[in-house]
Amino acid sequence: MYLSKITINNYKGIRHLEVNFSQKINVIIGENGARKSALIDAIRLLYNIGEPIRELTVSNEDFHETISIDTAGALLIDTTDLITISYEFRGLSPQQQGAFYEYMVIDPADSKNDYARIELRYKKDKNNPKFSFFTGIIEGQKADYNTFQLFQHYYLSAIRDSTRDLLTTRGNLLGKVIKRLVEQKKTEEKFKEIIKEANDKLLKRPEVQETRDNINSNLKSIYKNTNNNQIGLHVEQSRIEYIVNVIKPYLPHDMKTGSDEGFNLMQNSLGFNNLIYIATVLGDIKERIKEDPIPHFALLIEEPEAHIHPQLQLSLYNFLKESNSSENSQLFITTHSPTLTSKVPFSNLIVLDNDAYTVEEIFNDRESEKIIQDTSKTKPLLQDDINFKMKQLQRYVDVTKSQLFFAKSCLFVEGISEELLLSAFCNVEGFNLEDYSIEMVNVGGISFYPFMFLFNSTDNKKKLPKKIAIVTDDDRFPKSKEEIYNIDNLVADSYKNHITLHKSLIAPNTRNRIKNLESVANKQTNISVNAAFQTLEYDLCYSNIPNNLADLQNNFLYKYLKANCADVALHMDPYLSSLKSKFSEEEQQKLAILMWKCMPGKAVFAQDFALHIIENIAEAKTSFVVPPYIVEAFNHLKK
Amino acid sequence: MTIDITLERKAYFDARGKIILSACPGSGKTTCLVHKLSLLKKECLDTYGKYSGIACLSFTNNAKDEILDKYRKSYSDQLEYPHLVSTLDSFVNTYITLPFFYLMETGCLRPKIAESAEQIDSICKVYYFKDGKQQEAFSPEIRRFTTTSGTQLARSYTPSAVWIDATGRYNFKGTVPKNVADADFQAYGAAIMKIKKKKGLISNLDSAFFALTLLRDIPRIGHLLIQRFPYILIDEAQDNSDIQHEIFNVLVSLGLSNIEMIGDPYQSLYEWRSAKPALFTAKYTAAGWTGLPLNENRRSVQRIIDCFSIMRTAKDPKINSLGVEDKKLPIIVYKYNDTNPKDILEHFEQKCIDHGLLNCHVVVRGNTLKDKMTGNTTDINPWKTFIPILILKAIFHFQSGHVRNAITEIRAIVTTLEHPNLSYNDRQELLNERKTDSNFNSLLLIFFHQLPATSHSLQDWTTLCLKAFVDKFGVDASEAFTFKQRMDGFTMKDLKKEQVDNYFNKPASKKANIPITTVHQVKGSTMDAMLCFFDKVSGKESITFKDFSQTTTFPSEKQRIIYVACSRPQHLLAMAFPDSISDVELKKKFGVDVVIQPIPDPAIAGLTP
Repeated sequence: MYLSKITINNYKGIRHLEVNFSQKINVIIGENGARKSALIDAIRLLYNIGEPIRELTVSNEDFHETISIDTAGALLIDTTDLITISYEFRGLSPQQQGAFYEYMVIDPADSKNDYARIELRYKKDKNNPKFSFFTGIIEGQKADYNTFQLFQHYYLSAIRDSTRDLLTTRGNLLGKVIKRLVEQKKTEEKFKEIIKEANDKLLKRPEVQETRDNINSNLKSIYKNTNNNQIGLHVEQSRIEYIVNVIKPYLPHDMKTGSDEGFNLMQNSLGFNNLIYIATVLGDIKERIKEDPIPHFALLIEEPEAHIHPQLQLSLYNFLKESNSSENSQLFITTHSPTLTSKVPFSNLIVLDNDAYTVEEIFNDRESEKIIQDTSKTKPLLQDDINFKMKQLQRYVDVTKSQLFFAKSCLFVEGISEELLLSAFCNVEGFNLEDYSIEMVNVGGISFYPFMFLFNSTDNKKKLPKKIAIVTDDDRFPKSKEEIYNIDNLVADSYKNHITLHKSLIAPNTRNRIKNLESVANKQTNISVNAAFQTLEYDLCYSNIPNNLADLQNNFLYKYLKANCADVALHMDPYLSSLKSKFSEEEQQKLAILMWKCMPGKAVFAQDFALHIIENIAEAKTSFVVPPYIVEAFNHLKK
Repeated sequence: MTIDITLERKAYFDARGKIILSACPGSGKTTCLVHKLSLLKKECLDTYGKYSGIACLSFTNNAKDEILDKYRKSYSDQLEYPHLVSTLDSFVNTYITLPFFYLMETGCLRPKIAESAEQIDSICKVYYFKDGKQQEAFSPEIRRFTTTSGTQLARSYTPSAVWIDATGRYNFKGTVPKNVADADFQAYGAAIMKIKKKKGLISNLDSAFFALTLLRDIPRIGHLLIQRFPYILIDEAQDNSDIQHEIFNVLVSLGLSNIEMIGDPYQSLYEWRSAKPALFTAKYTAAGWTGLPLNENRRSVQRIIDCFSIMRTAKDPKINSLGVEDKKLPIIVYKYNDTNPKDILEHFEQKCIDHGLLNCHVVVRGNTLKDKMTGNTTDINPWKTFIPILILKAIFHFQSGHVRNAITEIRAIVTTLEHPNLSYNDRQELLNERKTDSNFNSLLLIFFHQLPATSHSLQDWTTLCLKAFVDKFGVDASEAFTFKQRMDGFTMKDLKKEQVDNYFNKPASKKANIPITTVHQVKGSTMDAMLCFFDKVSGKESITFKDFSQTTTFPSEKQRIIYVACSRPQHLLAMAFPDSISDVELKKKFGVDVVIQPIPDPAIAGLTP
């Protein structure tokens, strides 16, 4: 049995939210304020009802408020007065269907569609909200209140103090686990025997005897004539809870022998205590499920990455995955950790934004959108192709790329050079990517397609609501990289190759790369495809060749290249001197070709030039031109 | 708790599976049931776990409370979740009909269960205004159905009394009307059902039918229900209707393996509410079922058992008295006439006092005779409306400890006076709301103490009542309390000066205050002594000397009523017959040992100077 769906209305920051959960593990991600905690709290509400001491209830502040501005410009605060949260559970065993009888929603046609449902309702009232609930799908039906015991949970909050939780008596988890085992094995008497034996030894100590004799001799002198008032001393026989509650974890000094000397938990690292706590919880769940196969156990952990280094986060995740193997336990994790996110299968990854998106679902049932990737043919992508894209994406998403799920918008680039240059270029444009929560994703090549499928659906439920820009090269004349177009070969033979290259570049484009990207964008306005005319290097040069010599000599890029590569003085300047001081369009293009070919290798240039921009930002702002297609990409994301 | 386990009881406690337990009067049926519950509770936990339970179903709320109470007292333990002690109706409603009604696609997702027949009747009517007055007529959907002689069916066969049976056919209180074409009557029934479904108001009987339909059409519901309640025990199962029997038959066919039906077909009193005791008897010998008897009577002396056993068939096993102290009190037969009933009461009372019998009842058939004897009668109503009488009735209930009833009654009265123009349904809704309004209820409770004493004269009582209504609720009830101008046989001027007590709330007897009740009210209870009045003329509602006789097949409802009545007392059974019955006839029926007591008692009359 598992919680398959929750529908929340008007709770905290949530106006309306439906979230589908997977059977075992659900990792919920999203930027701050994406309402992850509200979602976790909404789940917790149900599991708290049956608890003897509730950690969470609904108060009048929890009703959703919408703020809007009316025509006169005044602030309107609209508070709702009814919170409803419904929970659907699927995969119930026959025994569970009996236990949840009053919750069952039956499909007479197919029992596989049967599920259990409960809806909680909180109505705003003077002091405290009025709580009511119904089970099944028709209002008015109420299961026995005792059935709330069937919803069991463990909750580790984001700001938790595992050390305290492990050490205090109240809610002592370790004690509870031991006690459950004691009850199961019926060994309570053994425990009491041991304590009694120890207590008896204590009582025989001379200090105890002496104290008793003192009291008795005093009593004797008070009563004088009678000996009836003598007292004995004993240790009160405790209940089993008290006995096991004094058992605490510690870290043995000698790990090999596990000696009983060791560090107190207070001396231990916070992160490690977190792990001890989680390990204890999982041990407890396992025992309880063995004991009783009916209840549903929810384990909710907020930000498990707290206090834990990245590698250990992954170990913890793998451990959670393996230990959470029962049909009746389900894990809900919220996280901001890209490390964790990158390792979670898309079927278990839920992105919270305007809506909740299970990443896998974004790729499901997309064939009907008839997206064409190869525009030279008209064959749309099949579902199998789209599934393959998902598999590719799952492989591509690593620690760095997984940050895209937390960003407001994404800038996709081909490689490290673009990454370095573009982050410098936005400085020239007067902003930082972080200011707009833009994540730059280096796809390491030109496989933008798998990423685009996160954003290109015509169905809003299957489309992450983020803006993306793809910055890439048209690369209209790929042969330009061949040896005959080296700078040396260009200038040789009276610029023969130079002229050929220029002709080839401005010839009508026969390539489909950009057309294909635009086709996959599927007319979605949140996607902007921004292509260089030829390549980033050429376009960079072209946009920095003004139409006159004076300006060129003052240009930031020209000056940089002139200072840093000999080829410029050697091959570009002679060509320049053959021109008038005012350049024609064609001359500008030809100059750009020469400048581009004079540049050092792309990687070296990018690294060096990016740094140069940042170090001379004031000058760059006045005499450096960011290629327009890149500015367009920036503007799309900033809007 | 210790329980005397005899062989026949042991056989029942050990039995598992499909059990029919036929328990004679005084056999300690509830004690045995409660003991069995304690055994099953443990078994259920071991076999089915913490979340599956026993459903123990009885016929009335009182019976349900008795089981819970007895269980608590006997085992200092509660019979709570996952177990359920409930009435059969409520079980069928809450676990089958209401949760899954939406699957029947009637347009109504979850109907309400009507609390009274009037509610059903009122939704089958339309209301309109004519000449400034509210008028009513039957709904157009049912108006067109007529008898063969052309009168509207709804006039002769009030909608609430049109029942559906297990096959989906309609009847009128269990019988098929003769003066209407069958097809017409069926169509009429279907039209009423359509209204009920549309308006979302159904009777318990309808609910049972829908439950049966759901179980038949969607076996999953039954499977799940059996998971939830692997044990079902039905108390007073002789009063199950054919539909209710069929519901359990379906559940058995779906795999319910632990079911017990407990009852006594001879004590079935609810044929008028579609009880089918014969179906219970049939199961006793049916294949797959284990029929077990409880024939030890721990209540009555053998003399009384032999007397009510007259009604049993010759084939029935003998009921034996077990461990009851015999005070050697013979069965007394009185002969009553128009003048001596009061003396009979007094004689009976004296007998009880003489032998230290404290818990004594006078039992009459039906409310009419009972009302006559208690003074709780509408024969004398000096007021123009029934309201003052109803108030007196509520006061009577209040004083005799039926506080809940009393509050319910006074709540309805106050509400009616406050909102005289409210339609029936609106008033019911308001009453429903007020039911849980604790402030209003405590107001009503206090109100009983502020109502004038019934030792006042009719005139004063009326004036003081009016004042109380004004003071407490700001309600002017003067119209409801207007005296009639004249009443046959009374001078109004003199009548108004008489004490209220002289005409109303008259205690049946001044000495021991023996309650006068109906057979239905004493069902299931034990008393020390009982006096039962038999009617003079045989009629639909009466029980007579002639009814007190053996049958060869199955006793009639009238015989069963006598059977229930006469099996109540422990020590003393007294019966009053009309004086037209001869001593010879009486001796022939009840044996020579019966004492025929002339009233007035010649022995006492002789002593009076």
